[in-house]
Amino acid sequence: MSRPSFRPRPLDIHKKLPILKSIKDFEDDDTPTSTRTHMLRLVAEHDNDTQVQHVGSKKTASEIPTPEYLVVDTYERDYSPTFNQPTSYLRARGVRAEIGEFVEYDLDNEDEDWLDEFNKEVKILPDEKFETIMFKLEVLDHKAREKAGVITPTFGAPIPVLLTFDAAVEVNLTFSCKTI
Amino acid sequence: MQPLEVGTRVLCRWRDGKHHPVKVIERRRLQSGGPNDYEYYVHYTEFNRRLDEWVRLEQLDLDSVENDVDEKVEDKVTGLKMTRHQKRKIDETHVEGHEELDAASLREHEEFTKVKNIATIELGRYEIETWYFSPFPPEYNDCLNLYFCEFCLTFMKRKQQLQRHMKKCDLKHPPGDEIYRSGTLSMFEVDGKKNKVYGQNLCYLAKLFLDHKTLYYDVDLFLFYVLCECDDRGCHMVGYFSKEKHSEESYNLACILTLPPYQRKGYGKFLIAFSYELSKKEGKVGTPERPLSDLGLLSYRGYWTRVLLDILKKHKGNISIKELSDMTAIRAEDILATLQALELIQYRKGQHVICADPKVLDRHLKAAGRGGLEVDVSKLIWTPYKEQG
Repeated sequence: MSRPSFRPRPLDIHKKLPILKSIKDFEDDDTPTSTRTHMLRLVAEHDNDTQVQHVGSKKTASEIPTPEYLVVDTYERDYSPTFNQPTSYLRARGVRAEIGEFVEYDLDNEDEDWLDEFNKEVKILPDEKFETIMFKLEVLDHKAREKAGVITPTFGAPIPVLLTFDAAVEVNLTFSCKTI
Repeated sequence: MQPLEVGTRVLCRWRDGKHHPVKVIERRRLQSGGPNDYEYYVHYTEFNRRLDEWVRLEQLDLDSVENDVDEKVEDKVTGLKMTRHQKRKIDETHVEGHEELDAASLREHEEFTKVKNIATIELGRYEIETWYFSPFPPEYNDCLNLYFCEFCLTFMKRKQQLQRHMKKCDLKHPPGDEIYRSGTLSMFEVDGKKNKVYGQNLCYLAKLFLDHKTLYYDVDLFLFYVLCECDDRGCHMVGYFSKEKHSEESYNLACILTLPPYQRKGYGKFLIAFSYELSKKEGKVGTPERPLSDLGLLSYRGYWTRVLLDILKKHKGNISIKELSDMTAIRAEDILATLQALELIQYRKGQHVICADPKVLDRHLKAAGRGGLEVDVSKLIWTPYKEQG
């Protein structure tokens, strides 16, 4: 989109500008801009020929190619149809780690590999229980060190987990009523 | 045969079955192959680098190889080693949308992010090819595919990890307040300070599809507006925009993204319109943070054109740019740029006038495309952000 380089005077954004509604309004003078007025009129007169221009600019949008995507075939199994939308707008709850029993720990590759090895002969420890243990260890370890003043609460930066004997004992106590 | 050098220009068969000119950006040996079996990371010189990809030798037309690989020259501005071709590529192809970036920072950016790290992600119903590099934590360096929980946006390396996660994840929508609902479309406002992990995950995800996004680890300062399509499985993100809680430069939008499976359906236009509706409620004018991407610029130009020309068509009497700005919350500079680009502001008889011949306006409106989904302001239940406590 080019625009003429000459701009006679800076435009005052507070000044009311006349709106010229008709091509005729443009023609009552003989300023050097008449060439463009002529072009404008041509454009306006060819109002039935809109296709050419229209296609041109529409093409720009559809011509920007983008990478592709696929539909995941397990989607309907992985995500259950159990959502009931209330009639009122949904409100945020507290952060879920603070409100309930949600286990905010997902086993990663190393965990899974270790667990496979551990359960090789007899299945001793189910996935979900292992996640719960890791989650509690992380939380308790963090709390223990925060209490000891070793770490101060910080935003953003991840805090490395350093397992201590005390935290492990406490987790063990939490689980003592159930068999691991 | 000898493997091709980085910097080689050659023709490559693309997904349309035709050959297109590419430049070799990087190469790596195939694990299964012999010592000279490589695959190549290529940039299609006709396209944006979001289409850069790894290709096999069979896709390359070896008769078209240009063997003038340049010697490395030290770039005076950045001190980065790069070939003349690389420099030329940057100089030639990165004008649109990157005007505000100086050459030095652009080159540094390109060097650091030249190869996509993650190739595809799974997010809800879709497996999506990524567009750009995203700085995931180092433990994800060896990952080609990532699996995102579509609700809390936690990402994992294996499908079974996602499936285990889905059994326990209790979220069915973004973890914020729903502030708009119309039919199956809902908008959620998520406070980055209250939902740090969600905000960070969203940024990692978005960076895969945005070239010039700064990844703020400090998401506290932002609000995220997440647009969803809702059904009996939950509220599925189709796109979002972020907004600073307090902007010195009167930005009303920081980043905007429509996820690829939902593009070209009018959601991007909806997000833009929504950002201006929020500005109107705040009683402020706003503008998007720069630089805008090619797709972003196109959407904004379309939005500004539609809004301003609709007013000019109906308006009786004179009007100032400031009045247009007050009516629309569009910044005066953006209004001027739009009207001047369409050559609607002219100087005659010693004063500026707005040329608003209905036929000309209609032509521009048609070219600007459809407005997409309308924002029904009566369904927006929202108060501007206020610091608590």
